[in-house]
Amino acid sequence: MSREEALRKRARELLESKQVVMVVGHRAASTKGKAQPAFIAKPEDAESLIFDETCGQNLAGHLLKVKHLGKIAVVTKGCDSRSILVLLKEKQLDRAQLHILGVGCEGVKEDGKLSDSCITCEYPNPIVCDEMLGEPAPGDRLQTLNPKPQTGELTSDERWRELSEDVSRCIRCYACRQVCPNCYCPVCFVDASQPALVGKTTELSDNMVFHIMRALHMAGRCVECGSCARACPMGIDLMKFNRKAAQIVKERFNVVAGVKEDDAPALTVFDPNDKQEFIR
Amino acid sequence: MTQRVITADGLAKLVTEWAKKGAVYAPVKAGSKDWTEFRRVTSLKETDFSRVNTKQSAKGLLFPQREVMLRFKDGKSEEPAAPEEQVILGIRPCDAAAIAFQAKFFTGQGQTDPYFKARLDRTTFIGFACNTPAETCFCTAVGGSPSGTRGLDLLLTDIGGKYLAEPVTDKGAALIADMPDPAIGDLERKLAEKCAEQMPQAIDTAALKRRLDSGFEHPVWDELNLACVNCGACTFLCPTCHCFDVTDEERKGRGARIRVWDSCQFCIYSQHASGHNPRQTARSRYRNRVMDKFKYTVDMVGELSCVGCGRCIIECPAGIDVRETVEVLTRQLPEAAEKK
Amino acid sequence: MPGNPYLPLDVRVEKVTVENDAKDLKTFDLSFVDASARTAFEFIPGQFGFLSIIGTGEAPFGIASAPSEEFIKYTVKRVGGFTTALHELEPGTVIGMRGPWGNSYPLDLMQGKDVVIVSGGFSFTTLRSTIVHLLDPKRRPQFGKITCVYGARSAGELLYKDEIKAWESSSDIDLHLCVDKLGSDPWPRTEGLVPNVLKQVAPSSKNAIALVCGPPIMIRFTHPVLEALGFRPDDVFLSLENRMKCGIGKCGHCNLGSKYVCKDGPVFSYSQLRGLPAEY
Repeated sequence: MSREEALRKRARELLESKQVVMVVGHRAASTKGKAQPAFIAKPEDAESLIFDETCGQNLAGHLLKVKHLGKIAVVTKGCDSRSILVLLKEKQLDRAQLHILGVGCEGVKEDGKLSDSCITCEYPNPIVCDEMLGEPAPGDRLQTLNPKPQTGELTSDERWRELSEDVSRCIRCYACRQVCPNCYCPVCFVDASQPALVGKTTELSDNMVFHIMRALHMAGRCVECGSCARACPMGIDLMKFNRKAAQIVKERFNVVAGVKEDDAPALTVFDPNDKQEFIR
Repeated sequence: MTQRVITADGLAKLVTEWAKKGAVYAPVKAGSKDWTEFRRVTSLKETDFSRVNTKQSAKGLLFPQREVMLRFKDGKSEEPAAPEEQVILGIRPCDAAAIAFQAKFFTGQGQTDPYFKARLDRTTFIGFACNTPAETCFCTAVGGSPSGTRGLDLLLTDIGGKYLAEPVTDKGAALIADMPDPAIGDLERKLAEKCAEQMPQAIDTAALKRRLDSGFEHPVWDELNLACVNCGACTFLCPTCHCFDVTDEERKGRGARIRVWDSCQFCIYSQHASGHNPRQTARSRYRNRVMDKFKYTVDMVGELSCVGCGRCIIECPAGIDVRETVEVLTRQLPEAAEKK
Repeated sequence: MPGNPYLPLDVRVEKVTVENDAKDLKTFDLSFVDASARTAFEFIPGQFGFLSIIGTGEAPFGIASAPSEEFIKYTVKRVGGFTTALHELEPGTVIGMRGPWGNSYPLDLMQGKDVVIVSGGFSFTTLRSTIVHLLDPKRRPQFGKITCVYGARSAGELLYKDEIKAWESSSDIDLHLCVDKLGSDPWPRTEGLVPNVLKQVAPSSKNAIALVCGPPIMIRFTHPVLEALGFRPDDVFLSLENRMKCGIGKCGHCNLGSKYVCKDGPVFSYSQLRGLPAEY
């Protein structure tokens, strides 16, 4: 039985036996090479579930929309599971109300090319799951690929120039924020109006404030799934911000978001030994 | 009006001439990115007409994402200077039709929007007929055509290194008055027909409208909206979407009252100052957008606000296809009795 | 740009009146800096205008003065940044105003009929305009009996206290004031919610028009009472508020289905509203 067949079979069983009220997974979109989140409530609809290189959307965030319905099964690759762990730690999800269908991920593709985040991904398999469907993905895939140069290797001026160039294309559609599984504030800082904190225009300064503040909010929480970069209609590699933030959090606090079930989110913990050289 | 043939050299000369008199905007490859964008050009060499559509539509040239409504300094305010004359070259028929739709809104329907009108009055639209549709094109399904002339002054059709030029307005005719007569017959028609044949069949928009008229509370919306992440990509890339927010930018007594694009998909779009929000749920916002495209604007100005450019399909981060949405709605909503 | 509808005209704050105990409701009496603009500013009760403070923003408010009054009056609740700035204005300050926008109460339809006015809280503004307009001795004979039920949380929250006290003893209008909870204040004497008081007052629906303006909850409970009294949906008019940015049907924000509250409203008959989404 192929992984996809196993997935459909288990989804159908879970729904038929009423162990879950819904299976959140992926289905093929009508446009070639794209998938759409699928919310399967009827056993017979489980046939539409797929899992392949088009299934790049992180489904963890979608759980927040349907969690009120009851116990949900969710198709979970490595990055989805990391996001789920972050959401569990932030008390946004209840583990008892989730049935995690783990799938090994060989990387997702955009326009036929492996997504940047998948090139640097170290966790293709779910960190946490209730059952694995199919074989885990080989862990050594990544060593065979050459990650592209990191933003961190540039000088500060070069970095600013490059980010400015990227960010100047932003049209403020907030696709990055909306697809982010760990971006769920009821009122985002850019939407705050009393007082307004960030300008709404696409001037470079407004755009930069938005993206830098978002990256700071994601520091220690971003699981580097790359959903934001794939969602951006203007082709901005938003992961440049998030990768850098994740790298700093790892160096500073030795914490990688969503890879352990029992550690606390990096920025919620105060340790007297934290480096504090910014306080002069 | 008389059709003419323009050689590539002839067009190049025209572009150079126009650029001396005002701004010329045309599709240009967007740096290292694999798409084109409308940019200001001074010569035909800079342009790239190889894509069916530009990443963003041309709407920003008439209705900029950020537009100054008035400037102020030390308590005194003044209106911005009049915009300059501009030629939009290489706009596709769907995008031109979208601007004609927006013009109905901004210059009709009661008060006239002076900012849009000032730009519209100073813009010449030179369209490019489509010879090959993209996978996501569906203008023919919503009343358009790959060689549609709505909203244009002049339509160009690439007939292999040369362009057949079809004036739509006197302004368009004047642009090519000095060009030779065409030596080719109705070839461009055949090209357009061939292109149209490859596109989806017309949807019965009247039947869809009747279904939407009574379908506001139908449970189909519960399923349809789930995949949607409520970002504004579809609305900002949509060539007909025209919502805006107005805000003041002020620093040390100087600044401007500006308007910026807004999207009905954003939660705060409809939120009252009291905190009450008539469209609090993602479902209600998704429904509003679909209803607006296929019902509300039909009620308001007598036409759909979808021209079939396909940008929302290409860029939706959730893989939602508006053609599929229309299909599901047509299938699932009961048809209400036709109104007298 | 000739006739730019977005351009505010200069108006001077002539008088600022604190209306309530909570001091978050203030009435501003405005005069045009260019006196000839007053004649050009023709409006009908029920219409609204935008008040503008350059550098801070603008927002729409119902016009509380009657067309015959010298000053243009607005009563504003302090809720956000802009209204806070308005509340800080001193008499003599010049601000901006544009309008009048929207339709109005159906004065033509009301000719020769009884008028029932129902209002709650600080939404009384455009209905004050209406009452002052109807009570004009020249105009009063054109209408039948005028009944008004107006309520607020407490006596201190009722607007235009001196004026409504005078109306209480006038034979031209049958005014019923009520408060959610009676305080130590001997005025007003009726305790109860607006819809309940309306039920007790039970104005005749025969040859009558009802005008309603209040918070959403009051509107919801008032309509069944009017219906029970025999008012037809065509004879009940509601004034709505939705978020709006332009006031002239361009910005999109205030739509109720195919109608814009700013341009097609803010006054709608109940029969019109029944055909529109209840998104207000």
